[in-house]
Amino acid sequence: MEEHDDFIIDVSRRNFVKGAGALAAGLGLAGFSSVGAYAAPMAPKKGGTLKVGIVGGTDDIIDAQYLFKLADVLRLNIGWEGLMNFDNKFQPSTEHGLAESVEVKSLSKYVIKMKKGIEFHNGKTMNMNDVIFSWQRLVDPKLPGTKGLGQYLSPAGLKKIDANTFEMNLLQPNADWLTSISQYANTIVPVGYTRNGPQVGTGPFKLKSFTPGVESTHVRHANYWDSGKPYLDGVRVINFSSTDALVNALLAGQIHAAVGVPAALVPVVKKNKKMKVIETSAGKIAPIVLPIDEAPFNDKRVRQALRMIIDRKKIIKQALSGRGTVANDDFSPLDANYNANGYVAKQDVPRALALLKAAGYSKSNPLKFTLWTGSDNFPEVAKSFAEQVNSLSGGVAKVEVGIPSDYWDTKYMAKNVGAYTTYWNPKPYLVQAGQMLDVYDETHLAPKGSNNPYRKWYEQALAERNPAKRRALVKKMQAYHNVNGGYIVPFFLNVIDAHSTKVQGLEQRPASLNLDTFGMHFKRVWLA
Amino acid sequence: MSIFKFVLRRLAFGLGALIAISAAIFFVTQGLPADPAKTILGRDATPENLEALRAILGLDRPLLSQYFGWLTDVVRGDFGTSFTTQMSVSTYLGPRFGNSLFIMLIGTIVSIPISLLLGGYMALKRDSLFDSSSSFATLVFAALPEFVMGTGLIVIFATTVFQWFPAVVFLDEGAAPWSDPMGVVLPITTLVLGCIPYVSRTMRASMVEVLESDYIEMARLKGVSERNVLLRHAFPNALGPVFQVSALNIAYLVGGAVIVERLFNYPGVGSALTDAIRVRDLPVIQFLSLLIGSVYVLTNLIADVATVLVTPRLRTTLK
Amino acid sequence: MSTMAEEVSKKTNFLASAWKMHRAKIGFAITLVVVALALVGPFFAPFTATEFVDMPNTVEVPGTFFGTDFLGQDVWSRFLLGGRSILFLGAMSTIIGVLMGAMLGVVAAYVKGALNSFIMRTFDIVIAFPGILWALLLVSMLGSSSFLIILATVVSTVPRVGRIIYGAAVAVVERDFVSAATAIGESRLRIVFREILPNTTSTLLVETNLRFTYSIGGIASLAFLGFTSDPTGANWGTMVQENSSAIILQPWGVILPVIAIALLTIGTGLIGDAFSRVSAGIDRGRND
Repeated sequence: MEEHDDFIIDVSRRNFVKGAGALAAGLGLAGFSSVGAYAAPMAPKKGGTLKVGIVGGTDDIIDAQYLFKLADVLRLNIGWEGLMNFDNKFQPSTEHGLAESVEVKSLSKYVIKMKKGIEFHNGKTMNMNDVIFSWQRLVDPKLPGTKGLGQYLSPAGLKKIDANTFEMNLLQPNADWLTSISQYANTIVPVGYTRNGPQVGTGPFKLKSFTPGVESTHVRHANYWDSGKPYLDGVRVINFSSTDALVNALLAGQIHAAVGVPAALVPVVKKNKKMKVIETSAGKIAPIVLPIDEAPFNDKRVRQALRMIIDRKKIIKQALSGRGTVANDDFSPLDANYNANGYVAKQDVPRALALLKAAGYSKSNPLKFTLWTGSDNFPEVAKSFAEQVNSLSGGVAKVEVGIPSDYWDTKYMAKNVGAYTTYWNPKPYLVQAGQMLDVYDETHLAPKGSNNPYRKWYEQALAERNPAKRRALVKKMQAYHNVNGGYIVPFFLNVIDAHSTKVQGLEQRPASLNLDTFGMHFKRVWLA
Repeated sequence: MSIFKFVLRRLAFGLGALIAISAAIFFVTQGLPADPAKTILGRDATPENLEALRAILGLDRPLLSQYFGWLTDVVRGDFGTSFTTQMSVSTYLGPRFGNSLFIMLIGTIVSIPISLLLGGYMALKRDSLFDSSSSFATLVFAALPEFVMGTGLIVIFATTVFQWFPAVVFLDEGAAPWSDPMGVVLPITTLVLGCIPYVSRTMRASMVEVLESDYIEMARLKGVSERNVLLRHAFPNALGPVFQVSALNIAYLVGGAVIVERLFNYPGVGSALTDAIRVRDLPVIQFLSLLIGSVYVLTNLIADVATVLVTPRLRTTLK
Repeated sequence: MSTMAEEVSKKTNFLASAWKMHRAKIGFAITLVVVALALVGPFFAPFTATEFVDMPNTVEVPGTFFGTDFLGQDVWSRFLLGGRSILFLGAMSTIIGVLMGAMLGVVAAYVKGALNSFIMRTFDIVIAFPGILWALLLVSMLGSSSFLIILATVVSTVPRVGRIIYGAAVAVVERDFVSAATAIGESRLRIVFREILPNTTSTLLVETNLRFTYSIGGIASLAFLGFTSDPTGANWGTMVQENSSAIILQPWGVILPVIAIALLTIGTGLIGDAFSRVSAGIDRGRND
């Protein structure tokens, strides 16, 4: 599953981005804070190979700009870097990126100056041709890059200005463009890069070997641009077939860190004094998707009843062992515009039942549907949701949970699949809305070319430079989505990883990616 | 009938069975509605690139021509390219094959002598307390599914009761399985416990039959020492059926490996098969199924021939 | 010349002499307990299979015997509820498999010629491939409905039963009363069903028992690998898989179903062993 992680930035208030310090905080972190204390700083020790465990299979890939699963995200982050990424306050920053500075000429014109003397893993120095090629690969629909960006930027919009500078001319204004650039999958590769070719990037570690489903080894990039880093000699990514095998290996000391520890297993890890758990919340969601144009979900009352009948706290307790926070069907809690209209999705069983009755359902003619899920898509959430709907509706609704062996094949791909569970890593509101509308049209809310107000406001908001006006538009979108949308978002789930106390440099702070954003390409990590 | 002719006939049958199996495997996997092209592309599937990929994979050809194409490639030693890893099937499965072979080999080396001794001794001490309690114990282990036995071992020896052995196997890249001797103890034990009951019970039955036979009686009457009666006469003659059962058990090990490797996260062909099934990696599924079928056919063939060779009575009939 | 009456009394003798063996009694008692548990247990389950009781993977939960499982459901209730489907699927596939196998075996023994070799060679080929793999292939490619799980189990049962019954039936076919029946002009079908089949009862009993043991094991193994018809329902095989990850926190979710499957297979295994000892006087192998 393709995922991007990015946070909104108020571009209108700053037209020039250079380093992390240059940024003013334009975004209030909405109610999320880290739980743990920062470790006392020690002088980093050099050397050693970090062994990182993660669930993965033979369908793992390595592509500098593309991914399906978490293991692919991890490997991408070890070897490749983009123009910008997010700092500790979720602001787009050039500090760890390959760009020196980004100048916002207008919402559709960006001038980007690159850092000098960046060297690829194969010893070649990065030049403008590499940068242009990388972005062509990202936006060219014929090339296997990240989808979604192509609708804002075409290959023709990339223009070299001088040896160090280039220009992006967007097809339409986009107030979220800097956060889009900062997505981790938008990396720089050498000219001619292909997934099957030599795996060359600029990151702190270069790929040495890769056996899908088993492991990959990455060794220190000697001429890495960020001087003194990385501390480690190498990183080994080891795949496990299940989370229990992963946690077992961590507890047995066979790996240093485990990426993606299931909530239910946190107590197992915490029992061990030599282990540390990193648990953060940044707004990852596992929504229940109801396609709004398919029966029975084309009846607004059915969608409303399903939202209203559930006890969200109970779902969190059951499906996440309590490791999450209640959400009110809105997403992007770190966005400054989160829940702008103050909507609360309160449980109201009598009203839900009244809605179902009004929609024509009764015990003798119950609302029946299958909620599809898969091992990658939080089956616990589907089971918990179904159990609540079934027991609280007293037989008026009958939800079955379906776990097809071919979830991603027939069930997900086909239209008219009915309801299913999915997941999204945290994103700013408009970026998430764009993904929902144009990249993976899950709920069929407002297809391209439709006159749906949600789409209209979305396009207006993207082009809106004035933050107050944009906020008003987002507010309208949220209100519309709360009533008409097809997502039930019961909670934000915590992202949980664990590592041995030998591993230093990882902190517990809100992060868009696992393991403290993978220790920023693992360059902050060292072994004590 | 000469032994040569006998082997040839068994060989011909084995080949026929393999072809039938290969056809069944191919049509069950490739002929069924699931579309491998969709599986490979996942969320990227558009009608155009689906069509293109189907053409590349040859899925647009008639099923029968796909089958013969595949069979020809297999005979030529080209097992295709894994859909998901994009590696050639032989490169991908090579090391895993070695890993599986290792635990199966050790499993066999450990279980067969134990079983023969146990079964033989049970027959000698027929109807003693030792015989009846061992026969009860082997029966219990024979009835247990592998995953129940394996999970039991994990609960007892890895997690809940004692923490003596790791619950999962963890091999370094390219490392041989014996580099993690503690890790392979429980998987091999599970396989051994699955094998011992059958071989030992067959050995017991066979040995009882031989001990009651006339020629052992004759040997004893002729004054051959008890030691020689057992080692020269009884034991070799009791081995025939044991070969059959051992062959079945080697074949069983291949199937049992699927569960055991899944249970212990062991990087062998069994876990490769479950993984391939999960992601619908047809070339891997087809090759592995064929491989396992071949092991079955081959071990049965060897067992038949070995039985004929070691059993004096049968040897003379064939001559 | 042996008569029908003699054959019937043989059958009674067969059961009686099997019952004399300790292992038959022990096996019967164990099987009875587990079967009763699976059939009656659901009526005593304090919670439903999917009811949320408390925080997942907790042993000490007031009002429960063994605490909660991976999804906060009552371990004891799911254990009580989890035997039915396995027992049902096991029984169904055994009955269908043994009936089909027996019929094909008897027919092959009686007809001889081309049909005989077709049936027997097909058996050989199906046997030349591990049963669990057939099941995995079928169920993973077509989905794990009850029908397919039964079908997959039947496919591996039929040829094994068929071969054994063939062996037993061939011996019967040679006997006097069959030729006598043919001589007085009875129809072939009638001969097969009225004369041959009843005379292979003891073998059939041994086989049924053995196949039931393996069907239970096989279906539980499939559930363990994640192939069940009802993903939310309770099922001993699935329980082991679901709860094995948190075994350190909550061992009961694994230990209870493991014990139940073990007892069930051991119980039926003991009965089968007594049967086969009486029937053949020798022990039987796994696959034939």
